[in-house]
Amino acid sequence: MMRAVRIFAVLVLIFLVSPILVIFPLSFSSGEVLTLPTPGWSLRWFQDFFLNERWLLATKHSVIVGLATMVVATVLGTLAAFGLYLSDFRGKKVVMAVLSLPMVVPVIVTASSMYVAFSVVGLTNSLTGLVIAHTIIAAPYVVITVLAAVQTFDMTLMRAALSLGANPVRAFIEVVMPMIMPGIVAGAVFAFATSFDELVIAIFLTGPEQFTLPRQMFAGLREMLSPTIAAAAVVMIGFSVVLLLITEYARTRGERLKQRAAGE
Amino acid sequence: MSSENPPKEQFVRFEGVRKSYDGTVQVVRDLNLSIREGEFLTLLGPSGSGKTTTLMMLAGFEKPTAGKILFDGQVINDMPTYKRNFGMVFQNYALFPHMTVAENVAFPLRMHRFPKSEQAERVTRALDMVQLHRIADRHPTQLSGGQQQRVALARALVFEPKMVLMDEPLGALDKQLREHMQLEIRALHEKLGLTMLYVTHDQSEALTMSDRVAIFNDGEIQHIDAPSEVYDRPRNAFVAKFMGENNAVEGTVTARDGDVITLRTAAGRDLHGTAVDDLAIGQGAQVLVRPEQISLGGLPADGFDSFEATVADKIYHGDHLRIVLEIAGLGQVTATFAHAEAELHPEIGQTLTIRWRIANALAFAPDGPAR
Amino acid sequence: MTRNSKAGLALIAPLLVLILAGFVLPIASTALKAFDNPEVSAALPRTTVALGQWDGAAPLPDAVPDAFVADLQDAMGNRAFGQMTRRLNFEESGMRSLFFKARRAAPGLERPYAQALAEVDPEWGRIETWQMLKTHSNPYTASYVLRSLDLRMEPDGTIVKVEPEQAIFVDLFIRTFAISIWVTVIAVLLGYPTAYVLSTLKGRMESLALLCVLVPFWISILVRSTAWFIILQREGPINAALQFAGLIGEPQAIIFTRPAVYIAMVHVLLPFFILPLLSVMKRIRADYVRAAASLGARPWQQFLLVYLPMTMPGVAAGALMVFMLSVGFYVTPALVGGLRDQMVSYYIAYFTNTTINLGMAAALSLLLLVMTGVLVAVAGKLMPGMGGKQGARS
Ligand SMILES: Nc1ncnc2c1ncn2[C@@H]1O[C@H](COP(=O)(O)OP(=O)(O)OP(=O)(O)O)[C@@H](O)[C@H]1O
Ligand SMILES: [Mg+2]
Repeated sequence: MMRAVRIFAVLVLIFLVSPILVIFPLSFSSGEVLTLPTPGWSLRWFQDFFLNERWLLATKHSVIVGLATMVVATVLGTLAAFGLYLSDFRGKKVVMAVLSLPMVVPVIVTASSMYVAFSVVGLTNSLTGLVIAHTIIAAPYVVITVLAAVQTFDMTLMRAALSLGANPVRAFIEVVMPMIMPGIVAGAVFAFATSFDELVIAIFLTGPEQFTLPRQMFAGLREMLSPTIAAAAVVMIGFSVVLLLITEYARTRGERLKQRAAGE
Repeated sequence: MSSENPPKEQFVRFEGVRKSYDGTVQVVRDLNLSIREGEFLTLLGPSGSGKTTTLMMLAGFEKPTAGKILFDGQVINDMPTYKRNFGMVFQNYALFPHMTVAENVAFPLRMHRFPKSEQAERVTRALDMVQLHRIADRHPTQLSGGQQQRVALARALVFEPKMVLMDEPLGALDKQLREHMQLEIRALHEKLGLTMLYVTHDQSEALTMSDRVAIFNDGEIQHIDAPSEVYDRPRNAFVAKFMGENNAVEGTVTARDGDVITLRTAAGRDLHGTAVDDLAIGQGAQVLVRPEQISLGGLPADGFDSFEATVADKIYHGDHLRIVLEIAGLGQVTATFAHAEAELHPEIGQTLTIRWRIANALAFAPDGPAR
Repeated sequence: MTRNSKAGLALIAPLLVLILAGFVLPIASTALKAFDNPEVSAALPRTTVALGQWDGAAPLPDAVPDAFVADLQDAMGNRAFGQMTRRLNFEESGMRSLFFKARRAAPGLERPYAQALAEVDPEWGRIETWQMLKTHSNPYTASYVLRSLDLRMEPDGTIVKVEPEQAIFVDLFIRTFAISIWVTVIAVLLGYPTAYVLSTLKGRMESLALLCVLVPFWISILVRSTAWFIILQREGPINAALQFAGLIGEPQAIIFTRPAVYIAMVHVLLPFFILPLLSVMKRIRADYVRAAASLGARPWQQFLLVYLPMTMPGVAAGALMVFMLSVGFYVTPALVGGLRDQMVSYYIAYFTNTTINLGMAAALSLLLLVMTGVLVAVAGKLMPGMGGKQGARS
């Protein structure tokens, strides 16, 4: 019985990774069509990607928007998380609910509503508008991760620092920050990833001049299916894996810190 | 429970049981143990000595790597847990969070298909027994630690299991509640006459509750006997040192007269001890004296060792007094006194005579290198 | 309010303001847009006033055609007029040409205008045409929402079903929720055993298995949908492999079918189910199942009566996540599904970007939001363990 369940799980895991694994050989194919087995190997599609101005521009846009979103969402989200942790007022529940709305409303509704509203104030077809939109959908995740980190933080450590003569600001910077930093890093990386991967809002808010990498891929898919798309996908996978590694590093570091704090 | 028949001596038997999780480290080595019907047996030992593993094998959660476990004469190595019919109390209680207290207690009755009418009645009786009938409809998360503990107990007893296994069931409680629950469990044992196997690493708990105590170390039983025997007549140095406090004096055996040996310390001082281990002249040895066996004053007498000692420190402990004494050639020894006895009120720096019974100074081979 | 709370509120404020202005406001305006009906009153202000004074019953008072012709003469070449005709044409086809005909004729018309208009087109002589105009001169309308439910209002105010060839939206909603529910069910069936096995692993095996879930989780939905788009092509690797193996002669159409949508959506959403469930399972100590066994529960009872209920909060959280995400899915079905596999999101995008019928886009958005909310609330009532008060203790 347990054996059957294990085999089933392995099959599900294979299902989860296989499409990603299939993309790789296709992107290194020397053939014109996306088929396996590949006729031979080459880097021509990556060359195509990296020499094509549209793809490069899209990549640049994605990185710019991703970084801007990351900075704004992390700053605002971290501040809000601290605010939520510190305060206890009537209506706090309502505030929390409002802050988490962008996570539960279907993206398509968000995107179409933002498109209409942003066009009134001239924020469509602009990277600024896209950064604002991405910040709004990414910041709630920052709030959650940072709040979780702050809540597990043992406030007696802060008191200990104060009792040892640190002023509150020093105590915060030297004791609190290092402990919750992994939470903030995780939130920041997640914000970048959210923006970097986002397509639906980009469809609504960007014109060809502002295309991001996913938007360019989506356009490419509709025009003509060339192996350059597979190369672009591999580039995006590369970004994602790097981000995953950063998060895992931050997470294990955070756990180590917490364990050390617990004296284990 | 058949109260007419005499209790079975070998209700449960471990025969040459071994257990290794990873194939190399023997967590339990060659365990031979009989549990009597109706007795309260405690497994006591330091952390990692294999107590839980032993219990898990009896419960059926772990399979022995070698050897046999018999219940009532029948090998049960391969019997699944749910057929064994042993009630069990876990350290963290393992109360099902999605069921109310009453549902938790009714669970084993449902599993064993007790008639519906009887179920309700038994749940009520079990909850009465642990004085929890008023909170039958609450969920476990809404209970205090002590209440959870009692629910776990009621749940393990309600279906009249053939025996009850408990793995540090009081470990999560504070000291006062723990002592209270010790008495309650003990009373339940007496009332129900159930066989109970209890795991703890708190020695006072083991001594107060058990009919017999099995001292574990390194996957082996070092000594199994009634609490007073284990405490007063430990079979080896490990048991002596594990049970209660000791002053240890090391030296070389210089003479032997029957059980009594003479030990000479490195500083050249002689003292006597009653040999437990086989000790030959010329061999290294240690003599252990418990602090409460040392008395102040008193003249040298037959069967006693007495020394001149200087009071180095005096610590007040509320119910007793602890005095650190410096004895030339022996080093420091600690003695404890009830207040009534401490009328002498020794002052720090004062010199006085102390003595102890040689019969209470047990001599063992020196500790081997830790395994 | 304490000093801390004031400081706290000040820290929350920037994000709160951003979300209120950039998210809550747009969504609220979408909700209003679903009922907003400015076109007729903007293009025909005098007619709107006159229609307001009319009770809607025959005969038509002369004031209405008088005002109408006056408005038409002002409306030469203005954008509002065009928007109005498009709006009315959406209600009833043929309206656009009817109005343009009237506007072209307007400068040369003689009183009585009612008759003159009827000569331009007999439709203008019918009371129903004017009744319809009256209905839509109201600044609010239910017609977008009605249309999203395949209903429309007759000029006399009764609500009827639209013609069968126009009735696509009820099917669309049913399809959207059916696809979402099936995707959720499949994700639960695939994800539960997988999460369970993952929760039992230790060390290297655990890291490896977890990686198999985390890597897809972190890779963009578009990239994964693209992967399936490529794999499921007629000339794609799956067909090639099946042909190579001699299992099929001709390549089979997999892409642009419903199964393709299920495969890709389940693949995209499965990690969202596994990860929260895994964290719940990891917190359940072996003790609970052991306790059940010691109390006489057989293996299936241990699972059904103890383990499953204790993991239910994780199942609920994960399933809810999957369902909410899939209801709003756009990219994946757009890439691997056919036209008959598209969900509400496709039509929201279509009405927003292609036909620029913002009223319809808004009505569909509003209904999607409301229906999702209701469904989630109902599920919350029915599903055990979603209340959170009996969640597993760590
Ligand atoms: N499931 C397991 N897998 C591998 N090793 C285990 C497992 N359970 C216990 N061990 C190892 O077996 C040894 C004995 O463990 P056991 O739990 O029986 O000790 P114990 O006497 O109950 O200790 P404690 O007083 O700390 O509960 C320990 O070294 C432990 O690390
Ligand atoms: Mg143990």
